[in-house]
This record gives sequence, C-alpha cells and structure tokens, in this order.
Amino acid sequence: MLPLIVVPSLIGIMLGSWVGVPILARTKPAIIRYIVIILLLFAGLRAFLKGLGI
Amino acid sequence: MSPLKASEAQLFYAKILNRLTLIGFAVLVVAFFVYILGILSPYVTKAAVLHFWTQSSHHYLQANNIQPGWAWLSKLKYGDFIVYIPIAMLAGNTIVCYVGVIFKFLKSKENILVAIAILEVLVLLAAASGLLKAGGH
Repeated sequence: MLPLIVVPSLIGIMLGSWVGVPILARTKPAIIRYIVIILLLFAGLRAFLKGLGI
Repeated sequence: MSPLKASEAQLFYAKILNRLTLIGFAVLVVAFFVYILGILSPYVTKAAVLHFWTQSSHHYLQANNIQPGWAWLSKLKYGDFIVYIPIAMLAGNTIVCYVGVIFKFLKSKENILVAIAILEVLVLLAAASGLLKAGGH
C-alpha cells in the first residue's frame, strides 16, 4: 500500500461524502440519475477500451 | 414507525460512526503530514516509491520485503507505516458501531437482532484477523 496514493484518495472520498450528502438532499433526483448514468457509461467505456487494449 | 424515520439503534449507530470517522480523519491527516514532511523517516524513500510507481503492488511488497497482513505493526517507527494506524482505525469503525448497537438491542430485548449483530462482529473480526486466506490482496 502506497501512502502517497491511498491517503489522498481516502481524504478525497471522506470530504466528498461530507460535501456530497447535503448537496444530494437538495438536488432533484432526476439530475442525480443522469449524472450517475453518465458516470457509469464513462466507467463502462473505459473498462471496455482497456479490455480491448486501446 | 414511518419508513423514513430512523430507529433509535440506527441513530445510535450513525452517531458512533460519525464520531469515529471524524477522529479517524483527523488522525489520518496528521499521520500523512508526519510522512510527507519527513518528521519520521520512511521505510521506502519517496525516490524509491517513484521507481515502483508503475509496477505491481506484489513487486513493490516483494522488493521492499513488506509482509502483507498485520506485519505493519512492527514498522510503526517509519513515516510511511504510521498512516496505517488511522486506516486501521477507520476500517475497524464498523466493528465498534456493531458492538455499540448490540447493547442497544439487548436493552430493547431484540434478541434476533442481537444474534445478527454478534455474528456480524465475529465475521468482521475473522476477516480482519488475516486467518482467512482469500481475495486478491
């Protein structure tokens, strides 16, 4: 485990969750749905391209 | 009870989790600064970390003679291993929270939930112990 990778990641995840929850409570569910769909499509595309070795 | 209203045990669990997470986060930031500022010398120097950056974690562990599991406890005098303390604290938060709610369930005499929570603690402790060899890490 490399602290240089793990610790900033953890700090980012934790800060993101603290900031994200109040924003989530105020945002319209449809907007969240579209953001999640776009992120999943992006992640899927990256995995697909990686699988093809591109 | 409304489906949107949290139970007393849920609120208690969340309260413990919130406090432990805040403590863990604070310790994590301090430990990271101890490492980055070189207050404690690292086991693997930052120059060596750059060398291993693009290689597999398996190679990194092997080349630096780092054992997986709980062996990090013997290397706490090094700056890069001090950050393991808050990470272990954060990873153990769930166990502490479950132990907390066991007492809540005992008080409200919810025996099935007591049994489930105890089993959950035992499973988490078994996983954390390193006695079960599975997974890719």
